[in-house]
Amino acid sequence: MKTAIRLVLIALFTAAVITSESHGANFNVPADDGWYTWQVDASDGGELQVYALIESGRPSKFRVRGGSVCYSSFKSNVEATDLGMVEADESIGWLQGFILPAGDLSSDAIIAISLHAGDLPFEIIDQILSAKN
Amino acid sequence: MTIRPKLIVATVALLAMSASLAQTDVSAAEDPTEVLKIAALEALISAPPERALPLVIKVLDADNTDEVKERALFVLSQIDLPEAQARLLDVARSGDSELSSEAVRMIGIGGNAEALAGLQDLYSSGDENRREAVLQAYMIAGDVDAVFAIAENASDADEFGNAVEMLGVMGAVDKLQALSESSGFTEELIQALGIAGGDDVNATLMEIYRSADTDDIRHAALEGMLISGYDDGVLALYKESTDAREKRDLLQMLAIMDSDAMMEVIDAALEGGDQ
Repeated sequence: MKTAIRLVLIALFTAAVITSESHGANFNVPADDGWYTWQVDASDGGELQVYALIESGRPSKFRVRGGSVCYSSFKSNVEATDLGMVEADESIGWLQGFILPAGDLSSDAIIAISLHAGDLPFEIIDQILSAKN
Repeated sequence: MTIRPKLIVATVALLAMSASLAQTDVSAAEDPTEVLKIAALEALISAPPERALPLVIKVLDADNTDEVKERALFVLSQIDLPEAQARLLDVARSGDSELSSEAVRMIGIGGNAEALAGLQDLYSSGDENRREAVLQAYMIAGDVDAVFAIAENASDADEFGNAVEMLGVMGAVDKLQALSESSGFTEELIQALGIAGGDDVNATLMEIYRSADTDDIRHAALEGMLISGYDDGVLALYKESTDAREKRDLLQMLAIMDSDAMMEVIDAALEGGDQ
């Protein structure tokens, strides 16, 4: 029960951060199965390529590639639907929805978020790290 | 299977553990909050150091589990800022035995020269666990000179033994031989040579065995060959020996080593030409 309350609190905290910082959370990835990709400004000043694999209507993997990062072994020649350039905060807003429940996907989401440009990634990480055990 | 010394196994385990710190293992922690914190900490590894540092320090100052704090220490070891290294040393000096030992090892992983130098005082004033952690940190950092200095200035046989064993793990044969110039080849040095292994070491072990003045030194040389897996040497000693008791000991050693050379000896005995 205490765990459930903690998870809800984390969700509320991060949602509050997103609401206050993002500029219209309009970005969404289609529910049709397959790889999707989009570009955002990266934390290192370059461009970050974000990939999401949708299976059964839900994301099952996140991958990122950029000038100084390549998180997880990932074939860059994967066929993905390009969603174009996206505001970093909007991309974060969509990824943030998959931090819970805690698991492999949440780790992928947190790492992907951390590589986006801006202050929002650090605010989300701070909220996660500040949660009471 | 060749018998491995427990220290080598422990070393491999330590290195494997250190490597795994860089990866999220969501099954390792059952508390979802903890899983998310560990993932968040690992995300900070690629963050700009000046942004990551305050968040990591916040984790260390807060009421978090040892596992979360240990991950925080690893991230801290990867932050190349003086404040990060200073904080690692602070934790290493703290009274929390488990966390401070982990901080010492993280200083080894970070490899920062200044922080590594700070471990000297910690070693001098530390208890057995702290000293072991410092030796491991030096081993991880590959700081052979620091371990050599500890061996040179050791105040008792245990301390000397631990240091030379670590030199063996580090493959520092030249340092082991340098130590032998002042103390002779002690049992600890001979076994450390076996841990280091290699052709030169095998030749040295043969020489030590053949010129040994005492059974203890002869036995240590044999154990060195056991550790280094040098069954060819044991077989050669068996063949050249004319002493029945010694031949039996050497044969037993070949059996312990599970050596194919045993078949050669058995064949020779069946043909009636015991060598």
